[in-house]
Amino acid sequence: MKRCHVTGLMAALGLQVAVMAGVFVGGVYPLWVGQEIRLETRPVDPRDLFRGNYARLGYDFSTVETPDLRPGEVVYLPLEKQPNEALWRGGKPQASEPETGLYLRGRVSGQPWSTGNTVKYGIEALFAPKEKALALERQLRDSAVAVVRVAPNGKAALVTVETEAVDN
Amino acid sequence: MQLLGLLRRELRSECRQWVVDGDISEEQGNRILARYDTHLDDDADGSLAYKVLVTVALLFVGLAILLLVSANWEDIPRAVRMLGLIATTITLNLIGIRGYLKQGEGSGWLFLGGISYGASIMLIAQIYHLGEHFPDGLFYWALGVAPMAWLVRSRVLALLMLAVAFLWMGAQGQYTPPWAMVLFLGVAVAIALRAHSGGLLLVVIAVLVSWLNLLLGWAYGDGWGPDFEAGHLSLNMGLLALLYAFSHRAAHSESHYLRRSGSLVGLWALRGYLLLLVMLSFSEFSEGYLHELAGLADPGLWAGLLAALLASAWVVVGRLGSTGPRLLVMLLPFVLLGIHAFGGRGAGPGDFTWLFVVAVNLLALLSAIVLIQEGLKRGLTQYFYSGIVLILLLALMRYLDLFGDYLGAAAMFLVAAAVLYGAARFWRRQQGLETQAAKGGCAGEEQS
Repeated sequence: MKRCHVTGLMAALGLQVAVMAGVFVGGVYPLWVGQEIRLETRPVDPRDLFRGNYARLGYDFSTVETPDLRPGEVVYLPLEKQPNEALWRGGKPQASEPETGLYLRGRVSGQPWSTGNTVKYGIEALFAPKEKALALERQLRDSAVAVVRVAPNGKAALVTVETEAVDN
Repeated sequence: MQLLGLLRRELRSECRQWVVDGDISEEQGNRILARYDTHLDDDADGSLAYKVLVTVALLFVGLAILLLVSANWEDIPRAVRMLGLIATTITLNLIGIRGYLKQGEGSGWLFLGGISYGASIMLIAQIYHLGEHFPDGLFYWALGVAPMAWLVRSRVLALLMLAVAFLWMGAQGQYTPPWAMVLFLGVAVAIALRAHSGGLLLVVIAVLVSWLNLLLGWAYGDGWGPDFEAGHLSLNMGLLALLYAFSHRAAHSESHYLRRSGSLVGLWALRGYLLLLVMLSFSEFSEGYLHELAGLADPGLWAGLLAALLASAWVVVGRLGSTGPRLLVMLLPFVLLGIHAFGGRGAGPGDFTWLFVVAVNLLALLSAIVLIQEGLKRGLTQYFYSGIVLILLLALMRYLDLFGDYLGAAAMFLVAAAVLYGAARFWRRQQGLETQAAKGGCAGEEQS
């Protein structure tokens, strides 16, 4: 009985370690296998109760003009880049996975409004110490460049945000 | 009698004083206290104070860990930060497991381990900028704490799991119905029953009520998100009836902890019922409620009806509670059906609304009278003062809002005065009969 109990407790601890490993791998996976791209963004600075201050990043493709999407629905955003441009742009969001090319996998979040909806791709927050997050907000008020790695399945991870002028 | 169980500490200290003063013997004191699952030498006061203070101290340490993580130590390499916190989580849990296996203690360490585990998830999310919306992190946190809490039957771990799961429910519930709450609620109920914890059971009931309300919100939202409608009031009427039935069933249980949790649930169900009555006694509020209902197709009606029918069956089969409240619970399904049949969208301020408000005000008056009488008869001060406060509140509100204009309000006050006078006369007559019966009994004993 006691041995069984010890096994159970160790399994419970093992579950915690496995979850931590899963969250880690889930977060770092696009950084390992993804292709690096650069996107235009505009940050503002709120605070998360558990993860501290962060710069919230908005993208042109964060809102879609399709009000019939329900919260939680998966959306695929094909990414395009002209040969003479430095930045990638979002194409027309679609419900099915694109067969070719690079794309972002996102989820509809929140209630729709009259003309559209918000989609989140997991690259909307740059966590930083409070002072740095506030400084970023000031520096990047007009626009900035988000460096993102995108895995073949559309999962993306934010690498950093650069303050260089957007030149497209 | 039930409520006294909640005041065990005060009763114990009173009994000790009676023994010191020579009013009762030590044996009598212990016999009195045994009715409430305690005794004169019970040192639970000291250990409870110690446990509460230590738990709060551990909670503060946990909050400090979360704030330290939130401060974002960017200068320290990622791997050092992450492995440091993961190693801390494993160490704290191992110390807790060791303490539990050796002395049956260690839940404090496991509680800290649980917070450190959550902080590790948040740290990984912070380091790798895992999105702005991160309810998944809270879900994994609660999920990881659940088996540990269940295995060691720890109340503090169960409370931590429920608190995190509740936050997850609030965050995720805006996007999808949080069905997984059933898992956390199930684990918490199992722990409450195994650890004989009335307090945990009460927290579970509170979270369960919130969850059911959120699910009903999703039924209204039609897949677009939770929508809070008037029908939620109908659901909560049914839930209150169900809680009333549970509290009286628990009052007859052989387990002291179930009796205590029954008392607490009964008290909160009563407060909820009184709050509902006070709100519905306002004509504008009732008008809005009746107008917003979606008739017999309202999901709130069917959810409330299910709860009310279960409660009715429970009180009838178990013969639970006193006659008045039992009758009220039995009538609730019909009342709900009537409200939804005659209310509904498009129903403006009409005769039905007027009748409904008058009926609610009379019901509130009758409830106040019953509470005062029950309070005096059974010596329950909570009931007595609840009745007094309700009656005074009703008088003040109706005097201010002038329901039915001057003449209507005056007529209502006269009707209320007549009901109160009638109740007082009935009460005096009943007391007279009881006194006569008692005297008759004594005389019979003397003659024999």
